[in-house]
Amino acid sequence: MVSTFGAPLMALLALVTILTLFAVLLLAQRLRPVERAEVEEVAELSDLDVTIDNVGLVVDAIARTRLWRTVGVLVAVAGCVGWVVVVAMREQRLTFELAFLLWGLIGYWAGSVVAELRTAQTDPGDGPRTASLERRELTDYVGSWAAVWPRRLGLAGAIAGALALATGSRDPWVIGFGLGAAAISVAGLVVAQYVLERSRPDLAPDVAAADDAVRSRSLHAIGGATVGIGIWAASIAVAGAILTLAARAVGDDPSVVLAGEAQLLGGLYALVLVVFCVVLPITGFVVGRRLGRRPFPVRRRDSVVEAPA
Amino acid sequence: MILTVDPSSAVPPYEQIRAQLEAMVASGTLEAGDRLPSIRQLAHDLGLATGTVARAYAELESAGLVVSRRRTGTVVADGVAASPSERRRRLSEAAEQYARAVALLGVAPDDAQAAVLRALAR
Repeated sequence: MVSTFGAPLMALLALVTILTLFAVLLLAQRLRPVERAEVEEVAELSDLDVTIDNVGLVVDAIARTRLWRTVGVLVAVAGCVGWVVVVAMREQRLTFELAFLLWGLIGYWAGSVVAELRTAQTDPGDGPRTASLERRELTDYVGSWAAVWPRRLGLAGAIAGALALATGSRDPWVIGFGLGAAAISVAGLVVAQYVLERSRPDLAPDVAAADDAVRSRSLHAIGGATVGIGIWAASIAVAGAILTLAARAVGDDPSVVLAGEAQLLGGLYALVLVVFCVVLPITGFVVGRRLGRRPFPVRRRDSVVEAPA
Repeated sequence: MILTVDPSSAVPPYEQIRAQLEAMVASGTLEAGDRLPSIRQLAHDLGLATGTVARAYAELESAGLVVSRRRTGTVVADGVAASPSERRRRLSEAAEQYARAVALLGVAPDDAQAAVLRALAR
């Protein structure tokens, strides 16, 4: 095989080795004990007073979420490396695609979801159980963007996919990204609801505040990744819809288009491709990461009022 | 506001939830328009099946104490808080029931009063 592939194979082996070492080092780094600075970061982002009683809850959440998010990203990286290997074996060339960033974001999102699913529901025990009558709303834990943007992006993706279908496009990428934007938006909102409704018996105020902070950070991470993936998928679906409509506008036979119009259409194609398939996806990645780290103060708990006898 | 449910009680959990919410509405602790937690949130927090909480909410809705709407969830209905005279009537009724139970048990009035004070202090 070395004689067949030569330099590309050596480069491929080097890439795989470097990425494997990177993955092992990253995982080892993420498995280390939670440090004080990480707890302080959560406390600062959520305006949380850390106490001896609530620090354990925060430490557990940090350890669990960072482990599963790392695993998610590493699985995505492994998938991308696998793709590079397959392409190299088939076509004897090395490839790097912008979509690898999207897969990384999807891995992060999936890891965040697994971390939430692995968060144990509180054992209620056998004795009397108490619960607050305060209704937990998404906007108590994260800005309204987490509810608004996934819906808008999902709708944009669904409309673009439907439009492409209606205008005769059978391009699986356009339809796939359109449906993907809608699916990730719905999934993001469902997971957010799950995080909100996860069990929380009536707790001491400082522990309840830590629980709120942990939920808030989880909702930021999942919401940010959902928006990032949604922007990416919806952008490509919209680009596909625009190009399909443009192609339909010039008719089935582009050869009848005059030279000037052809240049104009070529310019439009290039502009749409650059804006919707490069600039917006990268923007989505950056925006998603930033939203996930946005500060949000946790709620302050008022005094408890017991049910009248 | 806190709900308490004792699974070992002879009273079914849904009835415990219903009775406490009814008392809160009657006393004005829960006011018209107040939103109750979602069924799943309350069920998870209390470690109960969602059907248990759903039954309590359904009975409160049947009694006209709460209204379930698709967008806002379950909210306390308008005009269901008891007036002061109604509260006095219900208190008097509860006191008579308690007095009958005391008589059946053969407990001295002083002991019965002490038991009430202890319960109120909790």
